[in-house]
Amino acid sequence: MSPATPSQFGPPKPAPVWLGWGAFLFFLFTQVYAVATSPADAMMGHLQKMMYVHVPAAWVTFAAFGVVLVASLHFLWKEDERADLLAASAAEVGSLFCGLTLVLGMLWGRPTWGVWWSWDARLTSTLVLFLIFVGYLSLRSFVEDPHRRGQWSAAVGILGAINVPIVWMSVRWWRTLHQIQSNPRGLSPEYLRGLLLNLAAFTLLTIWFIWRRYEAARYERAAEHAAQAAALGDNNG
Amino acid sequence: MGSQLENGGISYVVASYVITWVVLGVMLVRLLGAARRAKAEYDQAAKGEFRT
Repeated sequence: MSPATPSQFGPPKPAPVWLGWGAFLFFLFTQVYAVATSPADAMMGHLQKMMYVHVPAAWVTFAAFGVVLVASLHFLWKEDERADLLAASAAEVGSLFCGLTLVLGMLWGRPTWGVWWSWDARLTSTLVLFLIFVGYLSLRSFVEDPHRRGQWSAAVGILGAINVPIVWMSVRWWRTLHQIQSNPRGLSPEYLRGLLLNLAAFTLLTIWFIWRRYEAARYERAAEHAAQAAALGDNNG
Repeated sequence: MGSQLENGGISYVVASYVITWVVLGVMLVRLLGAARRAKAEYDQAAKGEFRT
């Protein structure tokens, strides 16, 4: 089977602008709703409200890196450049949310643990995950040949995504400052509603971010391909 | 640490929301522009006007 190249797959299906703004407005609504309707926690006070940004940011980080895993495997199997561009788009968005998760975790850690950072298993494995994907994005900017870039970054992307279950399980496998995952059945409804709504809003925003980034990446790659074809045409002519 | 929890850690909560909103808002605007620019570049290249 011959690999799909930009000349074969044509222009991308555009991500609707209304979906982006709609997701952002829904996100703002869910944030205000969660903050306004959840009472101060008996132990944590208002700090509990950080759950509505920190937990969804971590969730979409894992989801985005899951997309990287699937798209990277697809690229290695089918050699379809679209899968490589999708993996790169998801990696960029996932890295953004991973960085945000780390910063929000530090803002949580300072008042609750008394420190901004601790080298415990959850925090350290999340930092490693972030650095792997920063490396993934740097690698892509260094390698010019699209096929080799796709293969190398797929290998790094799969390696990085394998780290996700380690991050998830780290609070159970090792003794950590970070609490273990909350069980939704153990949360009071006034907290659970806000959390679920924010999970939905962050997921919608992430879908739109990845879609839009993928659209841009497809156009960038197609433009690169058209420029190469034009240059070859000039040389042959 | 005690005093931070006594006032409910509100400054940390506000900081976390402000950072989240700014980061996501900037990403939204950046992506709106990125896809538009990439499409314009592609259209130009497809017409044969683009030279590297």
